Amino acid sequence: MSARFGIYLAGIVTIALYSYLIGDNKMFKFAEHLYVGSAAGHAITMGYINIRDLGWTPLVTKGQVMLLIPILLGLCLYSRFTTKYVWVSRYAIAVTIGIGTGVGLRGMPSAQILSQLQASMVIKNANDFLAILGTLGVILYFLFIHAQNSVTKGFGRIGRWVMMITFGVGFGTSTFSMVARGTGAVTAILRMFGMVK
Amino acid sequence: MNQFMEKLQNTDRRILFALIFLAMAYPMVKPFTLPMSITQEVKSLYDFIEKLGPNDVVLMAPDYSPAYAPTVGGACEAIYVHLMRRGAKVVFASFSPEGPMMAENVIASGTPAGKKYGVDYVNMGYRAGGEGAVAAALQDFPGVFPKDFQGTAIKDLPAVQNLKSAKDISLGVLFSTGGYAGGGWVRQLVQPYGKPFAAVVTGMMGPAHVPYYQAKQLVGLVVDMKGGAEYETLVKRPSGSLAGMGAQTLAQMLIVLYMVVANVTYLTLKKERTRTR
Repeated sequence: MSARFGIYLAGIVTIALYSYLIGDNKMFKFAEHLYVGSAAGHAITMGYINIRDLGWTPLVTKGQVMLLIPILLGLCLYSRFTTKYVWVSRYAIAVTIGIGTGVGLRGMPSAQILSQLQASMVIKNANDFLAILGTLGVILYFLFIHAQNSVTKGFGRIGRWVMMITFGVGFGTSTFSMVARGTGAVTAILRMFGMVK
Repeated sequence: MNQFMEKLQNTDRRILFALIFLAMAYPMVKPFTLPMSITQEVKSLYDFIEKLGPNDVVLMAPDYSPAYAPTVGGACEAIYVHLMRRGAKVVFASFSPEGPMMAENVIASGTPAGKKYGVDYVNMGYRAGGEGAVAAALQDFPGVFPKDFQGTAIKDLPAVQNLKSAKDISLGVLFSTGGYAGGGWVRQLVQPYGKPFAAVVTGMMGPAHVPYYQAKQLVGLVVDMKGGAEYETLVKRPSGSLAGMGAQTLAQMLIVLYMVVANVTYLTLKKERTRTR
């Protein structure tokens, strides 16, 4: 019974959301609000579980007082709702960005610069040669965008072609991905009518 | 002729949407399969998993939402099934709020008979913090995931009892549809711990992940529904991705047709307008 209800709900909400293609309407608005509401509700629940399991419970049961720091910083974020104390939230944001940057920087030079450089300098086949040519072309295109001579102009042209092809590939794969997502919506509608399992 | 071209150019977009819907719906009602090649990126992940056994722990991070389930969900299920067949312990740990729900779906549809929750596989739920949480979990797994998704303490879950840090992981697999993606895991798992890692990503993220594979920072790369269909073919278990490839093919062909027709009509009418001036 509940599975059947879920199938109908998924189908109806999908149709309601895609009805926007015909034009804005009440069905779409309802589905849109339902989606935003349920997503927000789910995110709040998950956030609550995180704070309870990793913050509050260890603090009160194990006496891990250090956890007061992130909890207080988290509370500071809510000062954004007042104009007078909005500056307090900046400390919490600064700490968050600082930690995020620090963690992200760890391993970045070797992971995303050195290893990539090493890999792009090995020529085993025509693809590798094209990769080196494309890399040099794009770098030279941006380095000598203003001061060009015949050599940098030639490489720059290759770089421009490489970028155009890359953007084309990006567009193509985006379309591919969107169609793949669309199959989920079509399945939900067909499942409602019992046309697919 | 020109009148026809103008009519074609001004086709009601709702007709185009309806045709796309039909192109996607028909292959689902009447499924068909087309010949498909297996890419090296997918095969290398399959080959790597083939070498795993009951002593291996694999960390799977299903960081995708229901909307993206058709793109990477098929691969998630196929890889999970493959790991179960190999007898490896599978630990789902999510860094996206919808992740635990996606893991539950994969577990429900992919768990073979005889496999037991907590012993062979476990869903540890979600932890907020993105890449920072990934780094913390890889450093101190029980500290970041003290309980599973249902609230069972880690000491009562044999599958994760020996999982203390990234050093105890045989393979990490990320299923990502955005955010810090594979780069973050390469920074936090591959570089500091030298552990094998594979990424399953959407089509638009695929080209950005190829350099990681070429630099041998990824043991495998599965891109979108096509990659999922390839993996389903390798594990000989047709499911969502293979079923969707027919729809994908027809819809893409129709989109290409739209592009060709739009360009032909545009250029023809432009030529005609230039001539009449």
